[in-house]
Amino acid sequence: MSSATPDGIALRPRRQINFQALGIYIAAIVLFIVLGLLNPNFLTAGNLRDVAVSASVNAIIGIGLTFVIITGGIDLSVGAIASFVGIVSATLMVNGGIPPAMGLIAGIILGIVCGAVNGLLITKLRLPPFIATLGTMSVFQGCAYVATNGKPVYDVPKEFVLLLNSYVVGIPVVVIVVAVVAVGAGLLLRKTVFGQNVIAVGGSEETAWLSGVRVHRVKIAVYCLAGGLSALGGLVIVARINAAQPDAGSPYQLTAIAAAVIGGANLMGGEGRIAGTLVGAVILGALTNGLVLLNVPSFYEQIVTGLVVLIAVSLDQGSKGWPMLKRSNKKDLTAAPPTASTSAVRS
Amino acid sequence: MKIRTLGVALAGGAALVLLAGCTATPDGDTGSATGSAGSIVSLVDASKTTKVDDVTAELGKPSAPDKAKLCYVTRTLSNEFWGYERDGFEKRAKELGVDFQTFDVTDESSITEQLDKAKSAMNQGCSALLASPISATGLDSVFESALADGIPAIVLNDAKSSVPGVVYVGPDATTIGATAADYIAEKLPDGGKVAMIEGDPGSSNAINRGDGFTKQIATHPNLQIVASQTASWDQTKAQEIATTMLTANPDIKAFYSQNDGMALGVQAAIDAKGLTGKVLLVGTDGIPQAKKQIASGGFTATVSELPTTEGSTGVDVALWLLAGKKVPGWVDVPAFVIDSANVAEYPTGMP
Repeated sequence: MSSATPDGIALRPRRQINFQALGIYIAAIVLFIVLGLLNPNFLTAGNLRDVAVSASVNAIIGIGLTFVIITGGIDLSVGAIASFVGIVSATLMVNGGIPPAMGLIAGIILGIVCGAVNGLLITKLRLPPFIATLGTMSVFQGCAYVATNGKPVYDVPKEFVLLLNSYVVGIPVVVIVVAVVAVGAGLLLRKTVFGQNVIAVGGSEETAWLSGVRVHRVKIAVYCLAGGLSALGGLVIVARINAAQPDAGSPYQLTAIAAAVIGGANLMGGEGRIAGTLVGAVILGALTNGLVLLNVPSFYEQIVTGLVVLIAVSLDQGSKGWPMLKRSNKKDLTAAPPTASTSAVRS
Repeated sequence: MKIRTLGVALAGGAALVLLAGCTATPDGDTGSATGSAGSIVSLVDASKTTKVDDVTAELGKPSAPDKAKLCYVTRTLSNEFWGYERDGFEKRAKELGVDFQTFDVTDESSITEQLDKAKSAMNQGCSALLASPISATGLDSVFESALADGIPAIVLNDAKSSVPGVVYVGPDATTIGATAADYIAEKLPDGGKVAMIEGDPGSSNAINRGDGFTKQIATHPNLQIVASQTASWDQTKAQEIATTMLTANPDIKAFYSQNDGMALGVQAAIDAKGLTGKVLLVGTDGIPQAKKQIASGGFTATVSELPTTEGSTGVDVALWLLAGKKVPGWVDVPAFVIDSANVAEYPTGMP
């Protein structure tokens, strides 16, 4: 089996500036300017730093999800994995006495194992990703409660908190972690055979398989990646709140998906950008922070966040729908046969 | 392409401007930090616990300093309990003519969201920070930096903070559970089987109420806890669990529910089994619906807290501290039992 990228799949349009991607950056910049105009406290260095920190967990988990979404899958269990890992790592450190660095590593390994479970269910048992991870979401969340009989773990070692929740020359460590993860993920997706295979699987599983891509392996790997990064996100949460709560990760299972989707990840597969997901997470963080500064009650905040997701996705769809609409109109007029390759070629 | 880009930008911007426009609020001056670092901490006597009435009698009605703004970071307002806590806070602040702002979060698992909002609030400027943390240690970092800047930090209800200098205004959750146990013991002199419906397993209220109840029941040898399950503060779940418990143990004599919402579910289960009035039902919180049930003979009792009092006391404590007065580390707002004997005294809202 050759692992080379099959040339039958054109992965990206050649040297074409992706205006859709630009749109999200411009939207983010406008959002920052508007929030800054409405409340001068928004654009202060301290506040922007807080926005970055609050976006970090969504960014970390969202990046893992981006890989999953590119393969055409979804992982609903990311928040539960974050909760589960947080509580297990904290218990190991507080009651097991293992050093913080080991706690971190053990947590990430556990996250990868959880991801592997998802991947195996999806590939070997052929469960649809939505169903498989809906089930494991409940299982992992239950495990998080069982681990400590539902009790939070307090008195997390100071060193662990410093590891993920301190500042290096004024820059929060989590922001550095996010940057490292994002650069690594970007290189993995765009510069490696694995990344090409991920995109190929999302473009058309069948074509990828026919071209020699080991589809199952690729899929299991992306769920492991998502699990590992969810674990990292869960550990950041522990460091931020000085405690492990058995349900602290659950708000992130949907917001991380939202971050990826705002950033242009296509739930139909084949498409997604690491930088886009980062911007998506920052937009969500800025909205939470900015709407607080503007004194918007949280119920409205949910409405705004939902609208932002809808606007982002409809733009995403719109950008594809328009040319397709034209094509289908033409098709109706000329009765041209549908081109089978279209869906596989688009990325 | 350009048009679309512009569209995103405009739509986003317009939505925000609209939102900002339609939420006119008491937006005031940013807080003025009175006092220097550490001075607030020295005003708080951490070892001292005083009943709220005694503190108020001693320190009197506070006066509002110029240009002060009080910030209250609450929990989800979809739980009416926090709504009453907020009402007490806002009403007292208005009464004393001091600027205020309330911040709330999505739901009971929004722990990091609450942390982010507390930080945003502080960035915006607060002269005092009041909060009801979801996780006992979740807001510690914000409290520490507030106190370091000479800004009073006050916890309203539920989770006492371990940060020195933070004032706690609220009841002892363990006592609430114990009060319920003693009440059941008093009403069941012949003893019998007892069941408990627990709240969300991770929440400190559930843990402390449960501990208090279990330990106090153990002091009454003729009472046995035969079943104890979590319904995660959910009424429907509580109904299902209580039904199952009654099927398994038809001779259960009393239920203790860790909040009133779940107790309403237990009530439905008891009614469905035709046991209305034959099984004791003690809830917690004292929400209006629970009091209606008590008046109509459904619930036996509820261990009521005083969220409105806590909210308004929080304002007083903040202003006392800003005025340089010494306050106890724990302003005790004890919970009390409401049953058919005194339910008429509390017709609306929560005390």
